[in-house]
Amino acid sequence: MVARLMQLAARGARLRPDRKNRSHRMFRGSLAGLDVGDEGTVESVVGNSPLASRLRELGVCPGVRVRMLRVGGRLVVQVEDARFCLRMHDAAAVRLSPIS
Amino acid sequence: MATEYSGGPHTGTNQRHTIALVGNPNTGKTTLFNGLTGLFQHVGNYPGVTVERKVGRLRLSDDRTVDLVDLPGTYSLAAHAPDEMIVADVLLGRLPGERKVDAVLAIVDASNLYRNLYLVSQVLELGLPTLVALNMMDVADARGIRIDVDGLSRCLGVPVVGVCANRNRGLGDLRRELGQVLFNGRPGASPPLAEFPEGFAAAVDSLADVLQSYNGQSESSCRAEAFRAIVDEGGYAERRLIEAHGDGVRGRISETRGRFSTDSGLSALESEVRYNWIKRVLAQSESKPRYLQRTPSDRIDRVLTHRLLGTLLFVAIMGVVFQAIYAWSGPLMDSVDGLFGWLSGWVGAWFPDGALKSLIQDGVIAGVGGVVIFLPQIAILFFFIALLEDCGYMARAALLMDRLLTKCGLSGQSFIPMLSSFACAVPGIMATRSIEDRRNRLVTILVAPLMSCSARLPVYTILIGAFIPAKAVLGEWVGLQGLTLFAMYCVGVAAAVPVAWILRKTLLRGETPPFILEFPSYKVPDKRTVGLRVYHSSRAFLVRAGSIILAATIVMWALAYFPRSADTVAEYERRRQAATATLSGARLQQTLSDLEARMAADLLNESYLGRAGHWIEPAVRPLGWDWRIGMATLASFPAREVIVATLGTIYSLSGDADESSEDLRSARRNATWEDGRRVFNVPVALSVMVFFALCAQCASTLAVIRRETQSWAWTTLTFAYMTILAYIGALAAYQGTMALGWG
Repeated sequence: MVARLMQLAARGARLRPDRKNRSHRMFRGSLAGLDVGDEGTVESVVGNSPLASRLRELGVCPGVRVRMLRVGGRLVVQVEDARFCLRMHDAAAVRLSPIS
Repeated sequence: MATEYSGGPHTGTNQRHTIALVGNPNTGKTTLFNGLTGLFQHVGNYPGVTVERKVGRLRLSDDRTVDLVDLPGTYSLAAHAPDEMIVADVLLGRLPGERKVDAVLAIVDASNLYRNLYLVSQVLELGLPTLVALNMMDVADARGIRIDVDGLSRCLGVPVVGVCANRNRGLGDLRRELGQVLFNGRPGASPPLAEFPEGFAAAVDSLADVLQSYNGQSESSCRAEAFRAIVDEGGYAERRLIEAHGDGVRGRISETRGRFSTDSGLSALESEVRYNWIKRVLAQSESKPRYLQRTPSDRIDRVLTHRLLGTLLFVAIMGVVFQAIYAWSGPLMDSVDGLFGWLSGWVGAWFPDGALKSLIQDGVIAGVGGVVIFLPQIAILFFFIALLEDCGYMARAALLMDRLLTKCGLSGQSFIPMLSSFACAVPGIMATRSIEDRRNRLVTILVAPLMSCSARLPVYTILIGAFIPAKAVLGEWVGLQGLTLFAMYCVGVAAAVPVAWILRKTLLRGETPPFILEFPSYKVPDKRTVGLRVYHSSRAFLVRAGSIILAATIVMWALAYFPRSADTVAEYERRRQAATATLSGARLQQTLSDLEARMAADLLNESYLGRAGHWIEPAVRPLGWDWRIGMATLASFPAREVIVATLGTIYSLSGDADESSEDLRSARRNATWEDGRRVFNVPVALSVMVFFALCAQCASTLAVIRRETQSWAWTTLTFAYMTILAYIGALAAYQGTMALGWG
């Protein structure tokens, strides 16, 4: 039991920096890749899913500025003057313009 | 265009005009509605569906009155969820039995015009006379946002009025302008539609012509419907039209889509066109700081949505709520209790002995009074829910809960329906209409009744008050009684998790539904909004106590009173005379009251209820219950508060109640088995509470589930699984705690 817990803790500790890097690689250029306080400009919302159209209705449109307020499994994102909560993997559908 | 409005709508008829209030969620829509209508409002349901329909009477500045309909908050007329379909249906006049609206009052948040104007742009295309109320001007001002109201009005083509709904500012102007718009109004400009690619508007128009030839509705309303049917692939408008008009319409829709659609579908095109239009409108009418602003809400959110801190605070807030329900309500409940005690005594003094006196004293007063005592607790619970909702905390709690809810295959969207179910499952189940995903919605409906609603509160309170010692634990702040109450609420939640998980793995399998939720800015809760919420729910509780519970109580009283065999009464009369003849003084008094109690017990045993009760006793014996609890529980299947009423009636009739005590609540404590042991001890109290925590004893809830799911199968499933769960839970609670030696 204790050994199992130690093993899990060790794995968690090992994964932590790892996971962060990987998420940043995977999500680079998307909303999910922003860190707390980072700002970006939306390039497009990918796809034709209900989630994508809801995001667009809420104003996540080309040229709109966004800022990350909370990271983790659930993100909090500022879109112009509104704040939304969404899941990290859903946020990957929002592509950001390269920083110029 | 839309010449049918030029003379004002239906002038000359006596029917009151209807104005629809539409807007995004969190724009202060309800506050404005309450401000405009005050107490003159009526809450009902739309025909056939259970979305709450709130209508209020609004007095215009010229003293004419109109009906104001508060529609559910929505971001877009592209209906994803059932409640958004209602908005579209009402505005398009497509709801059978619902009158077409004569004008629209669109409320927008001045501090977030960008997002709010999206819905406005769609509403303007409906061709109805429209007025825009620009709410939260003060918030916008504080953030350095300057809005040129006249400029905005010119851009939109409809009048715009600045208001502060929470301070009642600007409502006079709004009333005056509404009259103007209603009786002389012209539909506003609908510029975005013109900006779609070459030929798109023509394609929409040709489909609209087809629709108009079928249903004869106004040109712009048909155009709006045709537009939605083409743009929302697989959406509600499309399904509706194809159902109504067949394959010809289907062909036209897919042909138009083929011509204009891209990879991201037509919805991408729509939002791009609309937001481009909005940007141009705002460029002419709004000036604000160019950078993204940080607000105090963001700083608060850092704490409240923090993974550890936020969760701890969430648990703490919930704990405070439950502690308050128990601690604050005491004095109020005592006074209600005293009132009914006094009433009972008064009836006792004035009515002659007999069936009528018994009906009033043991049936109505002991029964209904026993339920009404809980009004203070219910008001406090609704007060807290309204408070948390109005200040903006609910969305944050939904974020924290999304993690847990995802584990059982749901999403944070299910949180608000579930939390509402703690007040009452009926509005909770209605609130699931905001959930787009069908399976997600069904699972939420099926587990919502497991949340401990306010009707369970009386059961918990009475048993906790009688059997759980009022000890303080963890210092002086947390009482053992409050903690037990909290534990009872946890029982329901703890059961809901595996039930939802199993449903998502078996009957309602599917992907984890998406989750996106707006975080409104924190604000000081509006007194009137919270007050009205408490008022409406307290009223509903009293109406329930006065109708279904009163009826059940009278039936139970009759079953427990009759047949009242004359032989038994005569037998006891004989014994009493014998005692009077032989004894005297204190011993006589003692014997007389003993005889009185034994006669009552015998009569109850011989009653219809008693006979049925003894028949079912073997089934409830393993739960530690006597036949009286068993019968009271059975009687509580239509409405669970009935148990309180019924126990009051039964124990009042059985003479277990201490005659000198006017306290209805003490009667149960003294109930005994035949051998003189007390019926109630801690394990029995826990077993009854667990049973009530898990059982589907509410006809209204089952009726709402039936209406919402359109299926008897889901309704039956809910009833069956909850009842079985309740029996197993109660059995485990009793046998477990007995084994621990708590008896």
